[in-house]
Amino acid sequence: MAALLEVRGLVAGYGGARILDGVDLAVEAGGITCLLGRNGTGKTTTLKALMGLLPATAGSIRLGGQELAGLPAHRIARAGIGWVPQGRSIFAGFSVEENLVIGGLGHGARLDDGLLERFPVLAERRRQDASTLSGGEQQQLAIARALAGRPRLLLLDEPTEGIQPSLVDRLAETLAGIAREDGIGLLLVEQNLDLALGLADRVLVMEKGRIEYVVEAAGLADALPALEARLSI
Amino acid sequence: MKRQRLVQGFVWAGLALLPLFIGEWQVLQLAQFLTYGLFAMSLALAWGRLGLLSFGQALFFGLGAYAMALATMGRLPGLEAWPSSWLGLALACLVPWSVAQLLGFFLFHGRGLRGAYFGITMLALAVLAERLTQGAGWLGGLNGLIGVPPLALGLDGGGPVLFDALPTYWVMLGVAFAVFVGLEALLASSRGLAMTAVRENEDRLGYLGYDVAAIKRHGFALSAAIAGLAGGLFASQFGFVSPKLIGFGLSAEVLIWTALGGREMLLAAFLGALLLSWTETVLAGLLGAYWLLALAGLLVLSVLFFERGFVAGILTFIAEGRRPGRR
Repeated sequence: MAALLEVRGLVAGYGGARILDGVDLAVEAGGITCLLGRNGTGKTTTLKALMGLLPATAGSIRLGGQELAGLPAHRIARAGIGWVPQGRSIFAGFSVEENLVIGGLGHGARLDDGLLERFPVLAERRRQDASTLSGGEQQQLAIARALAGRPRLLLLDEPTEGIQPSLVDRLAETLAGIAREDGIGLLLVEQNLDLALGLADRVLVMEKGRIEYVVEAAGLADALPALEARLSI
Repeated sequence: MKRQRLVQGFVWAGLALLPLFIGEWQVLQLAQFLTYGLFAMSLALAWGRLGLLSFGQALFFGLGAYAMALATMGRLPGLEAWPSSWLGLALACLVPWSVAQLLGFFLFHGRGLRGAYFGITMLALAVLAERLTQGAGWLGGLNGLIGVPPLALGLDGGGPVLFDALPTYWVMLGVAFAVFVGLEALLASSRGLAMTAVRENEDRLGYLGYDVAAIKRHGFALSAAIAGLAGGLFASQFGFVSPKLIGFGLSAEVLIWTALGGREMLLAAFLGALLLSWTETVLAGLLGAYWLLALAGLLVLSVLFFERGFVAGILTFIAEGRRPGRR
């Protein structure tokens, strides 16, 4: 079976600085791929390049067979990639519901109540100003907003950053549900190794702008010492 | 929200009844200020909603005024025999709309101009338009075009003419009200939500699947069409168009009206233009050159204490018993 997302030889950077030096990766529908690596190895840059927020200077990005490299962000979003940025980036001053309507509108999709079943906190607070939500709730809103656009693939940049530890497990469950039940592919950047190992069915380690190490779910337990060695400072 | 609508209803009803209590000369003057109010609403749409701080909004007002003058004075090549007010109004909307669409392609697409750069570009364009108009003989040059006929109801420029104070006032008010209702409906829709989101953070909208440049371009063009309509109506009432209508001076004035009234509330911007124009006629005679000083003082006070505008502050206080929050 062909993967949902197939990336080959992706090159991108800021100005003259080449950050991504030929990234290859794949994400299956309903699969969770976790991107690990030390600071500055290009994890966030990879997500941004996939989303079209940073121009890809070479390589191919295929989503369900459709070539996306070189398209602007809004076209990539419409093609089926949802983006949950680091720091949530919800619209303050908009209600929870308005944030979700905005999330669905660009695709022409309508807000459906089924979406909120996965996020009971948001359902309770749908009329509340989004800036009054806690960090964890805002993170849920950012994920729900991305889902409102009915993506096939979701990119998440450190979704558990700055969230109280007791909520991290709940968030992980939500993410697992999105992948297993809705069949959406997830590609997430994560610093939390335990979470990554518990959630992912494939772990990628980035070094100097390339994917240098790939571990599938079955081999995760055996690969732990090697992973820790690659991630330690 | 309901009380807000109620307050809005009272304001419009009050404006409809106002001319019954004041003199004819004042009614005519107010009718002219209503077109300024319409003009201020166009800026409130571009600036208050889309975040496009245009320092040259009079470019569109002036284009509308000149389009109206040329059409109704029979100065359009090939259309000399058809000096229709309706044609004038259509062109007063269409010409600024097209110019804004074209500008939008250059200013918003590609890398895109933002914030102060957009404002300065608009300022330069308005100054340029003023200079070009001064030198164009077809447009009357420095003297402008004198003798723009009042609105005529016939399709060919004949028929009953809008000349008396009361009908003129009510027609102007009716147009302003219709534009207000239309824009409020647009802003309350999901499309309007996206426009407000552009002001808040346009990068976010991009990765949510919106073509931000297109939203800005269409919103800007709509704003330009309304400014042009205001200019066209102004020209037909005032009977005279001059390069002043297209340049920097009027652009700055509409900015002050809109800022003092309240850029995020259409009605507040509209009333701001009305109130300040009215105050100017009263105080300019009394204070002379000090009027500008007083206006500047008001602007400083407003920025300090009513960041979202005086009128917006008062309207929100009446409707909700609090100071205005965001949006």
